[in-house]
Amino acid sequence: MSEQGQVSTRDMEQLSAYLDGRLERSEAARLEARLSQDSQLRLELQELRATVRVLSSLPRIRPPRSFTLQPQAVGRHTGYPFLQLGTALATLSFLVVVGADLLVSRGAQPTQIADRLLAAPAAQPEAAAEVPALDQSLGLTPEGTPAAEAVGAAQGETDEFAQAQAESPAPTGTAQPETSKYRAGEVETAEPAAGEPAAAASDADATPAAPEPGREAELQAGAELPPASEPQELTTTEPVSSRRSAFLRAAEIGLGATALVLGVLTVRARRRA
Amino acid sequence: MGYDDRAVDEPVLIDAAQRGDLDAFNRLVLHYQELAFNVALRVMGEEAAAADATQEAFISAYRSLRGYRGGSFRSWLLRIVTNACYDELRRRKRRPAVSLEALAEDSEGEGWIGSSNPSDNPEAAAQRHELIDAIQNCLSGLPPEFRIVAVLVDVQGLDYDEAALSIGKPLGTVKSRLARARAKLRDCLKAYGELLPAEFRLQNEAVP
Repeated sequence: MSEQGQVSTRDMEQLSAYLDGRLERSEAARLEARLSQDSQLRLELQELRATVRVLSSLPRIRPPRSFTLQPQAVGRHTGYPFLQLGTALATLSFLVVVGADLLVSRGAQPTQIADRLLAAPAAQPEAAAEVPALDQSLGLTPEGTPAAEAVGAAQGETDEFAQAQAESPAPTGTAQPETSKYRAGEVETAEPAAGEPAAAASDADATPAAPEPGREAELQAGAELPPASEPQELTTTEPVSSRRSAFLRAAEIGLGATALVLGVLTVRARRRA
Repeated sequence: MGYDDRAVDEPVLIDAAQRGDLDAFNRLVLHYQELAFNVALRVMGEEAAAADATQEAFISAYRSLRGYRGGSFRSWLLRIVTNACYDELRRRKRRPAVSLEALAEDSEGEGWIGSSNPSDNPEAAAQRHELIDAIQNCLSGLPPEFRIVAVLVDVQGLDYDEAALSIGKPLGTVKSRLARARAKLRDCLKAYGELLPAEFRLQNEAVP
């Protein structure tokens, strides 16, 4: 790639380095020998030297203002690092849950219909078709005695059930409270909130939480799963996996939406910053 | 503002700033802002963009101060400045509204430092101005990664090693980018023939 058609890039580099005294002594000697015989090369060197001189003649400009930082400017975080972390956590949790879902659903496929019949019986046929129905019935169980009455509770309290459903057209319902929180700019809550469902998913069997009234289901879904699912195992084992996968699906959508919203906010924060 | 840069050791200031002392950091800012701004100015080509990049650089330097682990603070800072310039260039490319107006305004508003260019003779001053514009034009015509090296080494006078640290690239990269940049700049400057200093023109005409 010759700039003028006469001198190679390599020669150019040599001349340039030679100007700055950055050639090895032997290389410099070789170049000097060539320079003494090659007028074109000599001219090239002179032009380069003149170019450098012209560049270095550019005046120093006084900055138009001082760039010292004000305390409030430094304190006012754009939230960018937090958003970045939140996005990463949400995405990671999302992937984990998707992975878990794949594992669960692969194992549970054939029993799902039976689960649905057991857990959300004919009283609400269309509800049975909806995955969140299972979550919902879990939310209701604590009102009765935990064990076998779970199904009965779901059957008996259809009013409350329908109400709860109206309030939270899950699964997107799970995403809503989280995303609105982020919109409000409570960036600090992002990490725990994003991590929560994942933790709940992985510790599903290990952390029984205090039962809550059924209608506060959405976010507690993860926490309530254990107490309800353990007693269920007494009657049958299939609903556990089904409920788990229902929960996983809700978590997937929630986390997916969270990751997406956080991602968008992160890009915006970056642009603003 | 009562700051005296030389009164306090740089490492002491850095150490204090790392522990969150904003005053200490601001003394470093005062010490380096002229260099930072001038690098940014020659890379960005206009004052407003350079000021934005410089401000961004100092903010991000303050925030990432914990990441500084000794060595040349100047190089560490210049690396942040060059990154801020890249970011600013990218941003301006997205909305290129800044335009010629700003450029014209900018070149008129330049306040020179030092008295090596006494501009008592208006004609000479005007010519000098044209030359500066020409050089800046040529610089701005270079791809950013070449431009930054030319600014650091030829305009600011950094040596290769410091330039390498400042762009986070090996020495060889500095050498080759610099050679390419100089060759391109020479070709570009030739177009401004009569503005150039005599020695440049003479060499030029001496082509057999």
